[in-house]
Amino acid sequence: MLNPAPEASTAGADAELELVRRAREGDLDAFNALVETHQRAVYNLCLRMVGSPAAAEDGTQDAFLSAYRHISSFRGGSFRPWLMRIAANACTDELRRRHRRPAASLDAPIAGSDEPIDVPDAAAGPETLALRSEQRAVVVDALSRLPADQRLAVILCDMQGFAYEEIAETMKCSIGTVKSRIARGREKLRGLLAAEQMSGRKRHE
Amino acid sequence: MKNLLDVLRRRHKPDAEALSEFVDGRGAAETRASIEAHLGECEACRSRVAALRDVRASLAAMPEAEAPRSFRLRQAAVEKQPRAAPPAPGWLRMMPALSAAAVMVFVVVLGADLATRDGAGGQMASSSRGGGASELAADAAPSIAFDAGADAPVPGEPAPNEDAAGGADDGDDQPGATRGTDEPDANAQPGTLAQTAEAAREEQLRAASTEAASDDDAGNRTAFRVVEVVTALVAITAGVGALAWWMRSREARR
Repeated sequence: MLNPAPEASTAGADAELELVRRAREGDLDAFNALVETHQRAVYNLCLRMVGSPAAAEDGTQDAFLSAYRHISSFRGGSFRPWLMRIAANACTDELRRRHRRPAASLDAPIAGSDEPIDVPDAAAGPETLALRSEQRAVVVDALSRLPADQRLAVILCDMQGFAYEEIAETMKCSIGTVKSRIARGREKLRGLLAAEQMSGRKRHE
Repeated sequence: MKNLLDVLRRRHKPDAEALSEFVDGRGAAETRASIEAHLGECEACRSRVAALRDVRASLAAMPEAEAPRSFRLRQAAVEKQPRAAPPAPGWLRMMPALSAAAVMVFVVVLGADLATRDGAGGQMASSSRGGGASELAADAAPSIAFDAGADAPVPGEPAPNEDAAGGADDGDDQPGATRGTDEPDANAQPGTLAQTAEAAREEQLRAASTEAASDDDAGNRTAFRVVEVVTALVAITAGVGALAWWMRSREARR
C-alpha cells in the first residue's frame, strides 16, 4: 500500500524534471503528464487529510490548478515534496472552507459510508470485510482528531511512504520537528485507537 | 513495575520520539543497538514498541483509493487563472524594505540637521566664548547690578567688560543682537573711547569665533547635505524599482 516515490530511478527523476521544465514554458500536456503520475497520491493525501471523498476531490483539483499557476516557483530538486506541499495547503483551505473537523463520525448512517469503495479481498468472507470497514472508520476518525501538522506528518510517513527528509521538505521544517510530529501523532493515535477498541468491544457485548 | 513507574515519571531512557524513530528503522547505529539492548530488559518499552508498530500497521493497511476521475487540467480552466509570474529575485524583493529604511534614515538625519541648526548653533558658538569669559562675567555681575541701578537705564550703557559679560551671560542671544547693544554704547558714551576700542576688539574676537564655529557648522551642514541627498536618492531609486517590478508582474498576471 505504501506509495514509493514514482521517480525512484535517476532517469525517472530526470524525465520528470524535463516535464516540469516544459510545463514552466506553458506546455499544458507536459503538466498533465505530471498530473497523471501524481494524482493518485495527491488524492489519497487529500482524502486522509480532509476525510470525505467530495472534499478530497475539490482539494485535489485545487492543488493541481495551484501547482500549474505556481510552477515557476519550483526551484528544482525533487518535484513530489513540492507538489505535496501545495496539496497540503489546498487541504487546509478546503477544511477552512467547510468549517468542520475532517471525517465522518462513527454515528454516520452506514459505517464507512464516506470511504471510497475498494476492491474487496476475494479470499475474505463478508464478516471480515465488515469488520475492516468499521476499523477503517475508526482510523479515519482517529486521524481527524489529530492536529493538522501531526496528521500530515503521520500520513506522509505511514501512508505515503515518505522518508523523514522528504517530509521535512514538504512541510518546510527541520527533521527534528518531523520526528517530533510523527512521534506525537502516533502516540495520540495509539491512545485513540485503544480507547475505541475498548468501547467497540463494549458495543458488541 | 519499577520500569513502569519510571515511564510514568518520564525518566525512562528511550523517550517516545526515540522509540518512534527506532520503529521507523532510523537513528544512529549505536542508538539503535542501545535501544535494542534496553528492550531486551524492559517489558514496558517492549509493549510501547509493539503499540507503535500496530499504529503503523493500521495506517498502512488503509486502502489506497483510486482517483475518482482524471484531474488533468483543461485549457479553458487554466486560461481563467493564468500562471503567476516567477517570484522576484532576492535582491529585487528587498527593494521596498530598502526604500522604507532609506526614508527613515533620511527623516532622522533631516531631523538632526534641523535640530542642530542656527539657533542652537549660535548657542554653541557663544557658549565656547562663554567658557573663556565666564570669569569676567562673575566679576562683572555685581557691578552690572550696581551700574544698572545707579545710571540711567540705557541698554547700551554698560562698561566694556560688562559687554563681554553680557555677551557671555545671554548665551542664547544672536550675535546680531549682541552687536545691537553695542551701538547705543558707542553713542551714549563717546568719552570712553578706550573702553569702546576694547569693546570693538572683543567684538572682533567674538565674530571670529562665531565664524570659526560657523565654519565647523558649515562642515557639519555639508555632511548632513551629503547624507540627506544619498538617502533620498536610495529611497527614490529603490521605491521606483519596486513599483516598476510590481506593475510589471501585475501586467503579466492579467
